[in-house]
Amino acid sequence: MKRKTYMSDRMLTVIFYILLSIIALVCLFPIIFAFIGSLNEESEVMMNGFSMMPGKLSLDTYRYVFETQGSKLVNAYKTSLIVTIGGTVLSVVITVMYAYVITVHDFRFGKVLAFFAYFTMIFNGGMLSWYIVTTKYLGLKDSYLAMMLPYAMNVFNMYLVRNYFKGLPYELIEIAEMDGAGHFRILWKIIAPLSKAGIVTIVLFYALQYWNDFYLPLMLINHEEFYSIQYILYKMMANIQFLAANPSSSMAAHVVLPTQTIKMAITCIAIGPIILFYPFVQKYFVKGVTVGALKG
Amino acid sequence: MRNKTKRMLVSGLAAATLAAAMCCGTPVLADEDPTEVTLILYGEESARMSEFAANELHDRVLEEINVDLEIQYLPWSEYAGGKTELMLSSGEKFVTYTDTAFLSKCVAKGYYADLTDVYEENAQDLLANCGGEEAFDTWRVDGRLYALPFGNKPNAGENYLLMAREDILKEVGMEDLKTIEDVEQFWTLAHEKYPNMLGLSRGGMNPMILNGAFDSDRNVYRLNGFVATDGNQPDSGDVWSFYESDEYKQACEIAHRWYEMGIIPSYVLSNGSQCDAEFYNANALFTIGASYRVYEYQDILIKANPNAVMKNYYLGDAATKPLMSRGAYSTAFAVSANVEDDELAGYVKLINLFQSSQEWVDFLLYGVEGTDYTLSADGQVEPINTDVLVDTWLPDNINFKRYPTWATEEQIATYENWNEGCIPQKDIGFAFDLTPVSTEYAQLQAVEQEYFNPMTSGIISYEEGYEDAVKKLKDAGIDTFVEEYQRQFTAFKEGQE
Amino acid sequence: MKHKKSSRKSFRQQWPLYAMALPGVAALLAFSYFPMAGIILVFKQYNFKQGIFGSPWVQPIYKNFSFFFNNLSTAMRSTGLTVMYNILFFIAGTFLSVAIAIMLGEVSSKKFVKVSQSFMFLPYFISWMVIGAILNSLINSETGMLSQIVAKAGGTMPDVYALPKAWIPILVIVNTWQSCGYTSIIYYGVITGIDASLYEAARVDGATKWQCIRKITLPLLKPTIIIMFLLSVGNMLKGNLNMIIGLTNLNPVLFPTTDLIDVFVYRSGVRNGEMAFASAISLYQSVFGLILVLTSNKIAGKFDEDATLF
Repeated sequence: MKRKTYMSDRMLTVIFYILLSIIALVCLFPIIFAFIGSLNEESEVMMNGFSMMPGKLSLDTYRYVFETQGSKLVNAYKTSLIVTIGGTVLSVVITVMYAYVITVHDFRFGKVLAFFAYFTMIFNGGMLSWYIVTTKYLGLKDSYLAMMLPYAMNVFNMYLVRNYFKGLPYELIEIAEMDGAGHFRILWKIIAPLSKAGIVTIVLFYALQYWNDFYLPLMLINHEEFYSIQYILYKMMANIQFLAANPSSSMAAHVVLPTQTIKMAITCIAIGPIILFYPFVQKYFVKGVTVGALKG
Repeated sequence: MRNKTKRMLVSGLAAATLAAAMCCGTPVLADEDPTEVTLILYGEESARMSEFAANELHDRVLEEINVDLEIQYLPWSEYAGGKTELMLSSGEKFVTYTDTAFLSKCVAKGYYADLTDVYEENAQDLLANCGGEEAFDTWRVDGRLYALPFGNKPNAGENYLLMAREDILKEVGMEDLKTIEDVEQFWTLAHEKYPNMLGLSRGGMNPMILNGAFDSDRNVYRLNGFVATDGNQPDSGDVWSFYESDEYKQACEIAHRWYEMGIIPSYVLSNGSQCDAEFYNANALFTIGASYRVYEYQDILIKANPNAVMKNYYLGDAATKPLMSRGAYSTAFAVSANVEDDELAGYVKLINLFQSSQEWVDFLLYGVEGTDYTLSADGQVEPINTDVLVDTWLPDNINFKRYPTWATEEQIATYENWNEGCIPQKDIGFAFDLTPVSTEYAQLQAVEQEYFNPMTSGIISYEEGYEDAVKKLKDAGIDTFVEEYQRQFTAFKEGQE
Repeated sequence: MKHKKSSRKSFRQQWPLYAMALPGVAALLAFSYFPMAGIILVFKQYNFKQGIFGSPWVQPIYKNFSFFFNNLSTAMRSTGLTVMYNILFFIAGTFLSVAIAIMLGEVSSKKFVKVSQSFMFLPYFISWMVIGAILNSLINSETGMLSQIVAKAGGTMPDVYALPKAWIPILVIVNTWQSCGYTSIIYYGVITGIDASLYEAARVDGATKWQCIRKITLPLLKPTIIIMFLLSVGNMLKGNLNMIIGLTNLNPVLFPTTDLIDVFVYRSGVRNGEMAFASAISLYQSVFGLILVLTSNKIAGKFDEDATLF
């Protein structure tokens, strides 16, 4: 009996390894494709489409990107880094606190606040009024803050944390309250440490959201010194895409299109840092946080 | 409320300054505060351009017209909509380029400043170099001027021409393309020789390139996607629904044949970027033509194939169906609504300055002589750095044109005399107010894309698709739309007399 | 998690909760609620001089909706397609990402988890335009890799860009592929937080891994799945325009299966036309979403008090 269990577990693990490997490879494929594509010679791509085994590798595309964007890229990496770190810290603090508040049972406005947050996921007032409020009344324009504050609270992430908090035994809060601990203390000393995996999840999500964002720079940044890396790349892509999609537009017809391989190079430039950064976050997804031990 | 006060304050101040200036009678003082002007351009800003805009260009503009210039770039996706519209509707101050369709929408919404009272005094060079008063007429709505025409290039028959690879045409022993049969013969011969080469590529199919070849005595001019008029009858205000016309039927039949022959690539609708890329890599025979595009396209093509030569062909007889010109402007600049009085004059002066002389156009396009480029003995520009400054199409002006080294005398002569024998488009100075039929227009566009574009590109034959398509077109309100267009256009034509 | 309803506490005791909620409330007010005043624009003929509130009302008041609903058959087609795809996306996406999360939780090599998870994550960051280009070089009928493989095997690959039906599976597969790594992190985060002693106890009782998964992991993931469902239900009528543009280039031949609401609105010329048209349809999507979410939240509450959003 015992031995049989052991065998089936082994089998299952092997199957899991195989399935995961297949999925991982399928997901990796396009990146490799993009990477090799970015090294393809433009003229070959024209004749035969992208090839996984190009006859000749060429760095021309990267040279083009770095020559046209030049020193801007360095400054943009700096901006992206500042916004990502600053924004993530800000957002995680705000979100975790909000999630905690709507987790506490005996708080009078818990349900109201939960709905108050959820409602904004469904309804929005449109770009125009958002733009006017943000730029005119709040004065958010051409600054690092302009790229952080509007994303300060992501309701989806807030619900993820709350869901995580709900998974913890509620007695933790009650006992601490009886011991005379304040809510700040309970959150900081008890709930947050036990929710490491949940918080790391939203840290990751926020960081990626800030890193990947081009919308706020597009809307709120006019000066080059505040361009983020994603915005520069988005600009290049948007220019290519718009001009390709609107060949009849009188303006577009005047403008020279960049090439096919550039799309691939841009993808690689944008994804590169994420691949480098991700393993650092991942070590916090440690399995086996034992709540039981703490309860005792 | 706060804004109102501010605006009143500003205009009050402006009035006071004006009064002060008038009573003293002094010209612009050198130490007067410069006018701050924000210029929005679209596309990519090169590294050299940002430096140039902040230093040399900025300083020279300040010196000459006392304007403190700042240039900002937006992605093309924000042109005529997107962020541009947000900036216009939230009252930011800037100047940027526009087109006739966007202009009439913006004027209806009050987004643009009225330039009528400031342009005569401040835009003398534009008046002299950019096609004169007629060019300005294009940008008037109800007699008021809302944009400044910019650039000057002969462009009769823009999008009504077929551009083809002249070098290959000669290679297969042909001389000219005058008819549909010529095009098909050329394709067959070229296809034998270069089986991998595409036919019609960048931009796909546009039925108007067949205008000269239609078996019809009307010189079809498409006022917008859905409405056409006879370009040969300048005084008649008659319009008709283009998609329901016999000319469109002929266009679809030709397109379908071309699709089956392979002239129109099978993936023309599903993979436009591939079509574009092949074209730029000198791997396509045709595209939609316009006189000036020879310079833009050939410049790129020769990098892939040094022998490539582009030429425009008109599939028809220019004597019976002359080419139509929209006016020689290359674009137009409009100023946002909050800019007023003296400030507005500063904005106009800036745009004027950019077309004032060969020197200024060179400065914008090529930068500083010695640093960015050198001039050879025969007046050719030899760039030192390859960064693009202002996009070449923008200030393109036949009065200040510098031709590329590869341009033959024949090509130059063709271009300079291009507009000879052409007639003006019938709607110069007419702006269609979409407001009464905006709902119909939105529906029509959806129908056009789903049901007509496949026929226009030849993917679906006319017999197969037309019945269903025209029913959808009727449901979407084509009759109401044409009727409204007819009403406004007739009123315009009557006003002209 | 059991809880007792304790009596309401006073503000003095609970002031820290108010303080904690304040920054979030401020952010929501500033960037979501104040701009909601703009919803009024749906019913206005906006012009610059008179501003948002001063501009006249449109005549008739529902005018900005009519371009959509006048074309009833297309409006219904796009609504149906949007709902259908959202349901398919949710089912396929949840199934795959839960499966990935569970498998990642069960394999023991840390290095393997790290590497494979990093890989699965990547598609999320590729723009739809690039995914479209990659997809095209796989499946186009002339030079595509798949077509060439099929041709070598003696078959012929149909031109999928002319086959609307083919795009239902294609969109579901591509969308699931693109997002599964990302969503699986949510579930993986929950799994890593599960009390390890639960598994230890089960192992002692002789349970197999498979039994542990079915009896412990899955039930503990259930609330998260429900929450994810409720969060997505509000957006049931929203379609991903960028996905369709990137993958199909808005190829009209494929509209019978790709004309989502957002696509339909976009191609009705809203891009160059009225912002108010797009806002009007966005309001339609929101109201519909709100009704759906209120209903499903209520139903969820009937089964499990904790599995509700509010």
